[in-house]
Amino acid sequence: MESIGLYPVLAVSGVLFMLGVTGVLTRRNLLIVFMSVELMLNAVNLAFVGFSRHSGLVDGHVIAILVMAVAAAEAAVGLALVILLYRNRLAVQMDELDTLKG
Amino acid sequence: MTEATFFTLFSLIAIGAGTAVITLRNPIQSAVALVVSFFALSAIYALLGAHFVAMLQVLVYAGAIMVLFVFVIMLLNLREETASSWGDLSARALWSIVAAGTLVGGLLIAATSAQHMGFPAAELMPADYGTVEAVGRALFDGRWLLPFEAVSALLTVGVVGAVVLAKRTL
Amino acid sequence: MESLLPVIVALPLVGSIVIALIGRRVSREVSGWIGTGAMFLAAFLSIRVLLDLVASAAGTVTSTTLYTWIEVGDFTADIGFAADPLSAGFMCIITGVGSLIHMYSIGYMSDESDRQSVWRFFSYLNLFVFAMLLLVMGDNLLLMFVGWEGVGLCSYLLIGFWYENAEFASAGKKAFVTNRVGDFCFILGAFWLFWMLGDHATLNFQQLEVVVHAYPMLVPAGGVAITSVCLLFFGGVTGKSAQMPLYVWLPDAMAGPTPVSALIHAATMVTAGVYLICRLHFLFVLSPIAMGIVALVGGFTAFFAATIAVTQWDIKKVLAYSTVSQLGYMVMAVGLGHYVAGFFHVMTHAFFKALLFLGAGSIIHALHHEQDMRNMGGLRKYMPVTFWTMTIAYLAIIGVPGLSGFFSKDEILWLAYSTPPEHVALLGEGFRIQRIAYGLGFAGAVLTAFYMSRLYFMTFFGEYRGGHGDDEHHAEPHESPWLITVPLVVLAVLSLFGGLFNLPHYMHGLGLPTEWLHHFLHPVFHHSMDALAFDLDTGKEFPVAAVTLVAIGASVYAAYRIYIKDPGDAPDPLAVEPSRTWELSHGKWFVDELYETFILRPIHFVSRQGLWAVVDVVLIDGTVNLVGRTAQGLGRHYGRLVQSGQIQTYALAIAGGSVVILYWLSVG
Repeated sequence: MESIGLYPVLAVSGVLFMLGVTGVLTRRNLLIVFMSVELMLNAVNLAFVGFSRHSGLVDGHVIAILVMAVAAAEAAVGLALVILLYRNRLAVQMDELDTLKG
Repeated sequence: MTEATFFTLFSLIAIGAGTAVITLRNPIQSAVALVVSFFALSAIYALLGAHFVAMLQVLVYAGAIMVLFVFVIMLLNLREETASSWGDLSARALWSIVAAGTLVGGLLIAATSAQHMGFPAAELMPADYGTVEAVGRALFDGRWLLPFEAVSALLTVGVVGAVVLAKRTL
Repeated sequence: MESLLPVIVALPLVGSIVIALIGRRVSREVSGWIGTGAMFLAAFLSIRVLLDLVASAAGTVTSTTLYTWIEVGDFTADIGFAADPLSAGFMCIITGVGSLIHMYSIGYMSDESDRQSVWRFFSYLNLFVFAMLLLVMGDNLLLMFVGWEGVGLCSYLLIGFWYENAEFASAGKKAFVTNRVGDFCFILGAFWLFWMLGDHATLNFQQLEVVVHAYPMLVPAGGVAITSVCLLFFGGVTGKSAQMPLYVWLPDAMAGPTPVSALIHAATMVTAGVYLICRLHFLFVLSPIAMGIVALVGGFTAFFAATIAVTQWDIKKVLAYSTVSQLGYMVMAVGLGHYVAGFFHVMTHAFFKALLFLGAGSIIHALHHEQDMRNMGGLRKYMPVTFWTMTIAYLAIIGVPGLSGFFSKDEILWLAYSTPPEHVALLGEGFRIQRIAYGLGFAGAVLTAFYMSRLYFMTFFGEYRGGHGDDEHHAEPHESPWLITVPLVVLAVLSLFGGLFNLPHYMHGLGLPTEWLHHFLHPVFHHSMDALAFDLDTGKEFPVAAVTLVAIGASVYAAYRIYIKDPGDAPDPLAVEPSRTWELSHGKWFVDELYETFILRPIHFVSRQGLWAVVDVVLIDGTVNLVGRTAQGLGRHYGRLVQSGQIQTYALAIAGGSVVILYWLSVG
């Protein structure tokens, strides 16, 4: 095979994204859900970089970097919340976090 | 070995690690799998000519965010999930099917469309494509200055927020 | 001169508002004088307008339009005032007699218990005069109706003035509701008339007259439509002017303070019905059937009410039924097409009836709210001014020659006797309606003489039957203060000389102007007069009057025999061993009870058991409750599924939705 094409890159990105979504919807442990979210973000990053390579502009790289920064902030705050949750309820199982139940 | 071979290899590693993340019981195992996935992705970025992003991927994601994750997992001393989380929910089963289908479909597309939509040849790329200077110029000189500054503000807020949330007493 | 008209209307309105604003903070005399002052000023201006009309060429109408109230397509209704001789006459009566009554009220409403609320009284009184002036001065049916309703409202407010007494408040409600029935008929009549006129429809009186004369095919004479319209308007008249069948509110209205009875229920509001018929004379002459009915109802009411007055003990009730009866005469007169005679009686009646009521009020005030004539007697010794003025009123109402009542009542009786039957043909021209009307009027006059004499004798002659100073509330009666007696004197003078306005034909040679009112009002009614083309035999006037006089004399003598000559011990000898007729008369022929049983109770039943229990509770409430319960049930049942509290379920929903959108965006 010769050089990589855009489609394969997007295919990989799509697969990773789907894996992430499945993880979010399926797993009971909150932390694993968070990790699945990170997986989704990475998939998106891959897509941006792929398009950037295709077009020759570095904008995709910049976006990927910004996404990384946002993911970092989100992880920090999210994990702080997880710690608080654990402190108050001693549980990080998704099916026990049902106070929105109406 | 050509680029394509390496690309296929690292893609498989990434996808395999991703599957491991969502499948394994032990959160630490999932975290490690995720790290592996990040490394594979970093390699793919390098293959695509995004060197700076590749380095940042390792530094930020694998080096900082996953450390944070592992730290929290250890702190909370989380155990393995009980086994009943998979079987009883039909919606989730449905999604699994969708995921698997997409997985297979994606691989097939990847296999069959290698000859179409090929990337432009590396010689046609700008000389400094993917380098720190190029990205830096875009960030500071180009139209990404405002988002850049905004994101830095966001990071500050995130830090402060995390500290405030997690402290026992203010 | 035109600019005076809005001023006249505005004066009592301003007075009412000013009193309402400052009444709480000033003494009641100040409130009273503000109201009275506004009235005197309005009276002065009204007389000026009247004199202007007299001096100017016959038939002029001064009018002014303030602004356009409604303008829809071709139809306009303005806030405009017109003063033709008819309106000007009414204006003077209203403001003149009204101002005297206002002044009287300052003296009358002097009870300690009323101190805090008398300002309300004067405010309402002024407001009433404002509404009444709107009624008679409005240049279109719509504005007149505003005044019509306004006087009804003020009547309610004033009858129920002492609202803490539940009975008085009920009387106010009864007046208002009964009037409402009449108002409904009025409105229907106005709508129908408007509809009949089609493209030329208008509600302005002057224009109406022009249209009716110019397009006679729109209002076919003698047709069902015009008869119905007239009868509907007459329905309003029976309400406002207390004729059969809607008269029942007037006796109950005596619950209000006596000045109210004098002003509203003797001199002004109740004459609004007569005014309406006069105003719409050009419609009534087109319908002989309607005219016949009006005349009959008027005559019958005159007789019927008189039969009740004979046995009542409350002095105000006697006067109330007397008012209903006298209104019957006025209605009868205008029903037969004798509008001037009707107006003349309105005028004289205003004088002597107001005087009678005010005199009765003077007595009631002096006796500390004693109204039962069985507890009166011999008052001529204690209250001379009241006695002499009431004497004049008494002579006037029974029709003693020379006084005003004689001229007006006898003119009506003579006219009823001698009207040719063509235009009042209710049941065909052979059936002489007007003779029946005359008969009823004659019988009414005889009874009037009897019951008024009874009132006069029981109150002023014999021994005083009330308390004599045992406690503060029953001290010996004394004459009332000047604020009360001066208006009595003025009204007495008017009752004495009021006949000069329209001396009958047979007094031609005496050097005094005869039939002045006829000439004054001729321009207003001349179309109808020409249409009716009465050719009356004036020679009969004197003999008819003579016959009436003899009958009245006999009646007075009978009363004299019963109440003065051989009274015995009982205050009312007729009541000692009451005959069946007496019981019926005393019970007002049980008309109120009849209405209660056959009209009110069914309505209550339908409302409570039907409309409320079924329609409101079951249907409307049931439907609303059902909707509520359904929403609740749905929520409780299906809400559980949606709001599980599981975040991942929500996330699944989001993911599903986004897949759909993506699909739709990409595939289209």
